[in-house]
Amino acid sequence: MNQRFIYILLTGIISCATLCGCTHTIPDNAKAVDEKAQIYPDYADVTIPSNIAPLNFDILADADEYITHIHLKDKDGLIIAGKTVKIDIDDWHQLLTQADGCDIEIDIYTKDKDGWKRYAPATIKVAEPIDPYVTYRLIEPSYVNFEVMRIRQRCLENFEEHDIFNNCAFADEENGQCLNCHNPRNYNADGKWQMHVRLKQGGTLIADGDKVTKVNLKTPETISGGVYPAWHPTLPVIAYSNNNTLQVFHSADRNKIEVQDAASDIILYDTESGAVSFVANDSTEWETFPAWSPDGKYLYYVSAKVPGANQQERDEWRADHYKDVKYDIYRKSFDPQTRRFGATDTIYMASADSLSAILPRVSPDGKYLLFTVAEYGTFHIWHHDADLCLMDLTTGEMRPLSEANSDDTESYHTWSSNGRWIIFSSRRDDGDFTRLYMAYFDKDGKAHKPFMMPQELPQSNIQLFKSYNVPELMVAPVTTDKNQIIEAIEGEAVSAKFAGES
Amino acid sequence: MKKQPSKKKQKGNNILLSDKTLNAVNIVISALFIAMIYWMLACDGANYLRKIELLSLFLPTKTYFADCMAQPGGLLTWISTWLTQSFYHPWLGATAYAVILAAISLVSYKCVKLPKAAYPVTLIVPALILLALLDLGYTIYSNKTPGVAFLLPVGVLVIMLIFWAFGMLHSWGRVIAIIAVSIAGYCLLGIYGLAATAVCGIYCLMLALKQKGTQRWISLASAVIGALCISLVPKLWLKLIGGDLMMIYTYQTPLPRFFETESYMFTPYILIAVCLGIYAIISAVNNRNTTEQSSGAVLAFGSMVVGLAAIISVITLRYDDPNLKLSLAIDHELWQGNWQKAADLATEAGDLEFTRANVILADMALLRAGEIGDKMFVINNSSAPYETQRALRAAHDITSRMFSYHTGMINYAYRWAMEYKVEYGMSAEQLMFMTKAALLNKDYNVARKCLDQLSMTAFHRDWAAKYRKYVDDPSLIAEDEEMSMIIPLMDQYNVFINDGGRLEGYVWEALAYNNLRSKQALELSLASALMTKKIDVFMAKIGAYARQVDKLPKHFQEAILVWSAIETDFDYKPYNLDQQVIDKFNQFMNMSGKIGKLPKPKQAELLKPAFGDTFMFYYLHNSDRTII
Repeated sequence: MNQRFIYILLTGIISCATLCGCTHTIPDNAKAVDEKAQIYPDYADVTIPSNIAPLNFDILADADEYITHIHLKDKDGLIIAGKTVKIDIDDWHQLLTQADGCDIEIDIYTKDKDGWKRYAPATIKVAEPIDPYVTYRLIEPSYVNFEVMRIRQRCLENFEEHDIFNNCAFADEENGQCLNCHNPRNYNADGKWQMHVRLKQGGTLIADGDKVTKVNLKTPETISGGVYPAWHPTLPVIAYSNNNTLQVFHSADRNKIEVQDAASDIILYDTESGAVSFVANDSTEWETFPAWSPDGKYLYYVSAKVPGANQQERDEWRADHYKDVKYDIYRKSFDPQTRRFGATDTIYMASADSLSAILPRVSPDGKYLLFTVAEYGTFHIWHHDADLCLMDLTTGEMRPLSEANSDDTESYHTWSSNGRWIIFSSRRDDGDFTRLYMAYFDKDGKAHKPFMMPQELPQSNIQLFKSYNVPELMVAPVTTDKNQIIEAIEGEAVSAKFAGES
Repeated sequence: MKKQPSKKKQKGNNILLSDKTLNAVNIVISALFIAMIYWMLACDGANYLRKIELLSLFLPTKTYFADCMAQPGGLLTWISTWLTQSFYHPWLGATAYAVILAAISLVSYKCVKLPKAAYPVTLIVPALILLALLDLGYTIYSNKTPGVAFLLPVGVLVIMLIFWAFGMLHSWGRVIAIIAVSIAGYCLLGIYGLAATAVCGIYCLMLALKQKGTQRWISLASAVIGALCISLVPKLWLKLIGGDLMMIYTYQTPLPRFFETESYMFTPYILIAVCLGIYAIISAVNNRNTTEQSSGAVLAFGSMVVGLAAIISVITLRYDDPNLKLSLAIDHELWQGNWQKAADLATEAGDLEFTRANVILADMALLRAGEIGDKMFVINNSSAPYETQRALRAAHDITSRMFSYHTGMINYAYRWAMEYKVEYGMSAEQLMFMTKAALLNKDYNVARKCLDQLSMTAFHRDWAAKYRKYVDDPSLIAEDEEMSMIIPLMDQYNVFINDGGRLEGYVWEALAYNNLRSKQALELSLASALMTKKIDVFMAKIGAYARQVDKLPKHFQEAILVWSAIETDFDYKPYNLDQQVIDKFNQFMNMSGKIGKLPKPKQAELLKPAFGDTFMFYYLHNSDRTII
C-alpha cells in the first residue's frame, strides 16, 4: 500500500458518496453520425489482450454531456457518464472474460445545444493474454543531467506500479548513481534479473531472488563493463556488449543528440564462474546489441564497419562521418554443450540499403526477427525516422512493420512470452517523450493497430514529462528486497576474470 | 463605564502602562514590520519574488497532488507551491507573506500566553522566516525543494496552531494527540510535523516538572511517546509506504537542500526551532500573570527594543547582492520584451563589476535592443565572483536557456530547459522556454504539451493562450515580435561538436564561425567574433555586413581599426569610419606607445579610464574575462 493508493481510495470513497444513487441511461433519441469520436488514448479498433487493465480514455469532443456505452454485441454492458471514461476494473475484467472471441463495442454519445449525438462505434477485439508485468526505466528525455531515476514495474492487468529500485534511495548529488538496462531472464520466470549501476559504487547487479551480487565486468582486456545485456535462455551466461559511449549535441538539427560508440565489442559472462570471454572484438567493427535466439543456439547482434588503422583515426572518422555509421545484423552459432561460438552469418545488410539496423529480437517461436532501422547510428530513440522492421527468418524477407510504425520514432521493443504481443517504445505522441505501445502480432505475422499502455488517468501521459525507457515484459513481478539491492551496491564488487575467446 | 487607568501608574518601582498605550505600541511595531515586509518583498524584492514564482510550478491536477502526497510533508509542499503562485504579483506575494507572518505572531502570542507588553517579542520568529526567504539568494536558481518560499512560514504557522490546540487538551488526550500529531504531522507536514511533536513533547516535559501524582506521569509519558514517535514514524513510513521517499531525506523532508558549505543558511531554521522550544517552555511555566505585572514598562520597553531589533536585523542582515538584483532585473525585462529597458539597466549599472551571468544577460539585452555592436564593451565586461557558495553552475543556471534562445541556438535552449527541469524539477519558466523552442523547431505537439500545463496555472494561462494560437496557426510565429528576431538567427549550420560543458565560450565560438547570412545573424556572428577576439574571423565577414548597413556600429569600426594596425597594408577607408572613432583609436595607439614599456597590468590601469569602453582595450587588455 502506498500513498497513491491511499489517495485513490479516498478519491474513490468521495466519488462514490457523491455519485451514489446516480444511474445513467443510453440516450434513446440520439442522432447517429458517421464519424468516430476522437478519444485519447486512441483505443478505437485495436486488438487487446484478454487480461489488460481497463482502457480508460478521454473523449476529445467538446460537449455538455457525455455517455459511453461499452458492451458486447447485443449485450447491456457498462454505461459511463463524463468526458473522462473511467471503467470499473472488476466490470472490465468481467467484460473481457465474457468477450471470449467476441468484439467489444464502444458507443459514445455527446449532448450539445442540438441534442444527443451518437458517434460511430469503435470496436475492440480481444485476443490472447499478454505477460502481466512490464518493467521499464522512468526518466526524462534529457541529455546529460539526471536526478531521480527509477526502474519501475507495472502490472498490465491493473494500474499498480512500483519501484524496483530508485537511484535516490540512499544517495544523491555527487554520491548518486545512474541505473540502466534492467533486464530479467526468461521474462522473470525464475526471479533472475540484472541491472547496471553507474558512477559511484558502480557495477552490474545480478540478482537471483533476494540474493544480489555486484560484479565488475570491466577487465584489463575489455573496453568497458557490461552494457546491453542478453540472458541465455537456459545457461547461466549473459552476453553483453562493451561500449565506449559518448554523446554529442546538434546545435541545429531535428535530431537533437547523437549517442555514439567510439568502440564496442561483445563478451560472454558466466554468472557461475565469473569468467568473461570475447564473442566479437574486431577493432574495425563496432559490435553491439546482443540477443539470443529462443533455443539459445544463436547469438544475434549488430555491427558497423569503421575505417581507420587505429583508435585516433577511427575517432576522427566518426566525428566527421557520423551519418555513415551503419549497423548490419549478424548472428553467431553457439553450442550450448561446449559453450563455443561458431560461424557468423549475415542476417541483414542494412548498410546496403543505406540504413542502420539495431536491437534485433527473435520471436519466441523463432520465426521472426524484429529490429529497429533508421538512416544511421546506434541510438535510434533519438532518431525521428526510426521504425520497426520485421524479418521472416524462414524466408529472409524483410519489411517495415508499417502496421505498428508511426511518422515518428519507434525504437526499443520486446516480444511477449507467447509471441502474440510486442511492446515497444514510441515517440509518436509528441516526438520527444517515449511512451509504451502494444500491438497484437497474429499467426500470419501481421501486427495490428498498436495502443498506448493504459493508465488509470488517461491524461497522465500528457502530464508526464518523463519517458518510458527499455520495456521488458515479465510473467511475474520482481520481488527482490530493496535493502538487498542497497547492500549489494554498497558492498564490494566481485571482479570478473578474463578467459580469452569464447 | 469602567474608568481606564491613567497613562502611567506606578506601583512600587514598577511603572505600569495602560492597555491603550500597549496596544498603540504593538500596533506601531506590527505596522513597521508589515511595512518592512512590503518594502522587502513587493518593492525591493519584486523581481526576486517573480523569479521564485517563475522557477516553480503548481498544477491543480490529481496527478500533481498525488505526486506531492507521495513524499512526507506532501500537503505542506502542495499548499506552499500553491501559495508560491502569489509571487507572480509581488504585492500579492508580500500580502500572503504578511498575513502568514502576522498569523504566526498572533498565534504565538495567544498560545504562549505572553503578556501584552511582550507582544513584540513574537516578531522574532517572523523576522527569522523573512530572513530565511531573503537569504536564499542565488540558490533560488538551483532549488530542489518545491514551494521552498512558503514551506517555512506555513510550516511554522501549522506548528503553532497544533501547539495551541494541544494546549487545550488534558491528561490522556495529550498522549493520544501526540501520537496523532506525529503520524499525521509527518505524513502531511514532514519535518514540520515532527517539530510540532517535539514542541508538544517539550511542553509535556515541562508540565511534568510542575505537576504531581498521576498527571505528572501522564505528561512524562506523553513526552517520551512523542520522542519515540519522532524517531520511529519516519522509519515506519519508509518501511510501509516509502516507495517514493529518498531514504537520505527521511528526517529532513521538506527542508531546503543546501550544500554542506551552505549549512549556515540553516541558521534561521535553527533559531526558529530554539524559539519554538522556548515558547513551549514558557507556555508550560506561564500562569498568565496578572495585568499589573504584565504591563510593566520595563517589559514593554524591552519587548519593543526586541521587536525593533528584529526589524532592523532583517534590514541589515538580509542577503542583498547587486549582481543578483541586476540579473533578476534584466531577466525580468527580457521576459517582458522590454529590450531597451533591459539594455539600459545593463549600461547604466555604474561601477558594478559584473558576474559572467550579468555580462551574458546584458549582451542579450543589447542584442535585442540592436545595440550590441555599439555597446557590448561599454558594459562592465568582467567576471566578478558570485556571492554564493554554489557558484560553480551559476552562469549556467541563470542564463543558459535565455542565452541559447536569444542567440537562435534553439536546440540548446530546449536542451538546457530540459536539463534544468531534470535537475531542479519542472517550472513555469522551463515550460515557457520549451514551448518557445518547440514552436521555433516546429515541434508543435511538444509545444502543446507544455502549453497544456501552463494553461492550468493561475497566472501563466494568458501567456499559454497567446502561444496556443501559434500552435493552431504556425504562420503567426513569424509575426511574433520576439520570434521574428530569433528566426533569422536560426539560419545557421549544425555545429556537431562536444560543448565540453561550456556555455558562453561554446555559444560565442559556434556563432563566430557559423555561416550566418541575414543582417541580424551576421551582426550576432560579428559580435561573437569580437567577443572571442577572433578578429580574422570578424574581418572575413565584415564586408558582407557592411554592404547591408549605412553605418557600422562603433565596436565594429574599432575592430577594423585594430585590424589595420595588425595588417599594415590593410586600408580601412572604404568602410567609411566615423572620425570620432578614428581619433579615439589614434589616441589609444599614441598612449599605448608612450606607456608600452610598462607592465601590462599597469598599462591596462592607465588606459581603462579613457578607453575601457572600447574594443581595442578589450582586445589587448581585458584579461579578467572568464568565458564559461
